[in-house]
Amino acid sequence: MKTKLKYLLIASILMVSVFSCVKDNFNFDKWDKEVQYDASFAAPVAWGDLAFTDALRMYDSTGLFIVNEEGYVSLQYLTRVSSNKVNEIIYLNNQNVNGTVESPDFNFAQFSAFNDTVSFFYTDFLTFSMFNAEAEIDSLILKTGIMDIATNSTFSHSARLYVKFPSVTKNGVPFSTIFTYTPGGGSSVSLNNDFTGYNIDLTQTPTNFNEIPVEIRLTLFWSGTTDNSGTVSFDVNMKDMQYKIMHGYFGENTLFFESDTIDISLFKSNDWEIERYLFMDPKFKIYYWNSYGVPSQFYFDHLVAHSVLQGDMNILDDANNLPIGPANPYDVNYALVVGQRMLDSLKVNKENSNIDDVVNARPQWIQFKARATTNPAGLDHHNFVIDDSQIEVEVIMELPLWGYIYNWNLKDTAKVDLSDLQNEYNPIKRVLVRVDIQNGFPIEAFGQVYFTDENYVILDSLFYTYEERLLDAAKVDASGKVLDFSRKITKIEYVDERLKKLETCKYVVYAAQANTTNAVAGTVIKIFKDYRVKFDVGFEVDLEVEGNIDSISNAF
Amino acid sequence: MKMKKHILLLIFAGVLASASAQQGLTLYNMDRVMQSQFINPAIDVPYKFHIGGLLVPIAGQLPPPIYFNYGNNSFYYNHILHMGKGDKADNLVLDIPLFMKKLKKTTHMRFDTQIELLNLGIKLENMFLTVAITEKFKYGMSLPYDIFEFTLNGNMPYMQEGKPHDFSGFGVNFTHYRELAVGGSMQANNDLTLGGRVKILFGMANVNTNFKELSLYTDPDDYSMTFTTDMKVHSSLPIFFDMNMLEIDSVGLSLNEASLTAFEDNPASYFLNLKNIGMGFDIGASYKLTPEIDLYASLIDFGFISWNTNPQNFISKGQYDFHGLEVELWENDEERDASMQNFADTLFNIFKPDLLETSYLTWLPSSVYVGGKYKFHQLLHFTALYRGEFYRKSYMQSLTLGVNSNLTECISAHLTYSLAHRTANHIGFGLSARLGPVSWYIITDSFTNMIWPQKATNINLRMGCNIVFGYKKIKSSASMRT
Repeated sequence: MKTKLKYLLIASILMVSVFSCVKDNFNFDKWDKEVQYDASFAAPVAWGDLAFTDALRMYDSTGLFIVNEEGYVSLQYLTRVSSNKVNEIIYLNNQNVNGTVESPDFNFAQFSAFNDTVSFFYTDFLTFSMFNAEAEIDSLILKTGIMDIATNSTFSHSARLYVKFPSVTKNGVPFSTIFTYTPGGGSSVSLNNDFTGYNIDLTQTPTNFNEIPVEIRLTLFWSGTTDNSGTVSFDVNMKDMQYKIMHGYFGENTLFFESDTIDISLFKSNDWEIERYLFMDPKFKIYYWNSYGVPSQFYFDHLVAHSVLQGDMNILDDANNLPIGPANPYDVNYALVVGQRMLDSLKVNKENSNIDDVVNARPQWIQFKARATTNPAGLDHHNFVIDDSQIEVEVIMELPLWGYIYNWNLKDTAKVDLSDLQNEYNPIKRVLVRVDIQNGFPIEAFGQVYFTDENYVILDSLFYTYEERLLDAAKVDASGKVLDFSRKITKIEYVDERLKKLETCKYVVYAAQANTTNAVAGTVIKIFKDYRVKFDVGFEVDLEVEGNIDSISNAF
Repeated sequence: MKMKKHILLLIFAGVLASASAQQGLTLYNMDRVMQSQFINPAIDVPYKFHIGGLLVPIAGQLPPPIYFNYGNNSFYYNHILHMGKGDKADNLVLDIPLFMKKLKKTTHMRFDTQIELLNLGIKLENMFLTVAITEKFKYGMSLPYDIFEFTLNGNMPYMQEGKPHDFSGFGVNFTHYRELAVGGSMQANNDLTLGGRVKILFGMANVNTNFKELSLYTDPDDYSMTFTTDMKVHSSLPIFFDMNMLEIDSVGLSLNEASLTAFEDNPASYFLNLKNIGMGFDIGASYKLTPEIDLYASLIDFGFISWNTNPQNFISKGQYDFHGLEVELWENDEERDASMQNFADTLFNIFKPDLLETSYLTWLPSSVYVGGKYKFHQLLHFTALYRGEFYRKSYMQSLTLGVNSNLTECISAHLTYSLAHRTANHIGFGLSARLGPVSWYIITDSFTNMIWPQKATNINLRMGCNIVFGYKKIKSSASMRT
């Protein structure tokens, strides 16, 4: 019995022990929550294969880069200005003509019974007052226009007034209107006659321009009285007229262009400095688009480049005898048929101007005022304008990228917050960034990034060696064209110790310097649109977390 | 001799490298339990008639006839969390290095649940006929070692070795089917008994994957990543996915609303589905080698199911080199966002599967049993059983040694020791007890794992109750000790 009890006791103890052990294993309150994680990852981040054409596409909207006539790339700064609107120079005034038909104008000999009538007919001329005393207009088509005619009769007889404008037609039908009066007279008006689309021929009078004939016919109907005295007066007003097209001779008019400024950001930016440079073939270009059908001359009143070094410089002065100052205006192509928009251009370079000196003076902006005059040769009845005729001018400073730039450097500072690195459980123990660049541009670059504290005291720099900083330029042939890519693989490694240095970093100062290939020796290069740069960026990161899982969770 | 030693070692290693689903390592030699015919149709059950299953009133529910098996060929709980040592002796500690050490090339975590609805058997002269209806659920997940390697160690160790992360073993599977089995066994002669079962299978639901290739190679020179895929996901479910969602560049699928509504309106249709028909076979044999030694062999679950209800086959095959985000000169935020979207679309399109809505077949995980029994004494039999199973292109093995005793005419007890699931700590236990016509049984292949679940790579339990009639004691051999 005792033995059985002993076995039972042992078995019980064993069972309790086993179940206690099992229970402990699944009692998560007993978990010490200590975790350790140690992993290393590598991954690509980004890649690119950027051709200069991509940059051109990107900058198409601003037109900063273009492929020039020689096939390589130019940097161009431009502005486009327009002349006054055509209807500010060549416009239609309100026109008026009036007259009176009086009793003596009639022969009343057979005018004594009902059904007897007498008529008087004559032609008057409406002379147009013009925008310019010299203007001699032949014809026009109205886009809009209103005609008001007011009449009054004082005759005792009933009467009918017929007014006709034989040279004001629409679809070949002249404009006319009839007024009738009851015995004793009175007023009769025809207001707001819409002249939209009417064709006005101003050559149907002896003057042969600026006039239209007005035919007046007044008929009196005997109305049982012997009183034949009286008058009929009329007053014609043409107003609010806008033309669709106008032909003739417009006289000498002056078209003013908005004053404008071209910023040369290459020399104006405060973000960078250039120690030395050479542009082999700088150019100054003016393009004109003229839809006036009027011989015109264009010239600058004012064309000045401003540089910090030399102040204001006249780009094209009279001394150079270039056809662009007030004394030597430029005859601009003009439209010969309606709807034509004629392009004309004027290009100057270092051979025929002082543009070379101007560019070397690092101009920050170019300012100009321009105007154009019409009909410099005098009377010519072949002028025409339409309602949106305009002269537009594009002024371009073109810097073909043929030459060299030496020590183009830029520097900037950015505020950063790397306080997360101070976290006790910051899992990042090492970071390696790998940058693989294949440079197809004839430009070498040096870069550096400094990490500073709040007092700009340098804590660390991104690169430690000269080699790390350098990105070699692609080699070029004798003409300045790139032969092959240069390749550079840079690995920037940040280990725990180095990361700790950045814990108090408040500012990042980054600086870069660039030169064209062998610029120090004056080698000139050309930038072609198919130049490209390829890059591949990847990283390695070592992560390590060790500690209590609750503390780690709270730390983040 | 040395060769033999090596072969033995290989067998031993192979046996340890297994994780099986349906298994009956202890049940195999419990001839008083009619369910032993599930794993060898040739087993001679000593009753003239038996009936069991959930559909049998009262006896079918006390207890319900269920079978559950969990198997893991790599790790158990204590390989992740275990009691510490020294000053941590009273604490649970997380042990990732140990976990990693225990992981195999592919970790299979498998579950098998079976509910017997009806089981009927009758002895006719020289023949024993059975009919059984069983509801079966087989589900599990396979995780390749490299998934854990990538997650826990990162991709750099492999990158430095120049080898890819191989995720091709990854898999998810779930199968629910109903099995109607009709079987019979007969004595071919005095020594040989043959048996077989023909099964008609009614599939209810299936999801399974076949990842022939899924790998990630990180180039040590530029860290570019190459993803290679050759994978298929098959599904046949009452609620399926909308294929329209796959035609747009959007990550994610949505459930087909119509099928969802139909299922909600008539969930019974799921259980009455007869569209997914399959067939299977069990065959077995027992041979009386000597009066004391019996030999057994059986092949179980050789069959397939054809899935025809809402079949969806998602197929992805391709290779993609990932170099990071392509940087372009974006003019504005819209252009940049569009570029990012293109990048995401491109990445998705690599894995974007093609959808084929055609029927497909799945094969049952077939098992092979080979064993023998040595009747040392009328009340003491020693058994040995080898089991092999084909699963997801792997061959799982186990070896079981057993001691069996029909203690009385009503009670039999069985004790087994198995090398299985890559561990050698499986002590199984089986007990059958009969009271009048009611026969209960409870069996586990790994009793120790139920006591110490923290060390369990296999949890296995079968229990139930049968109504039996006509017990016929199997005659002892003349030479057998009494």
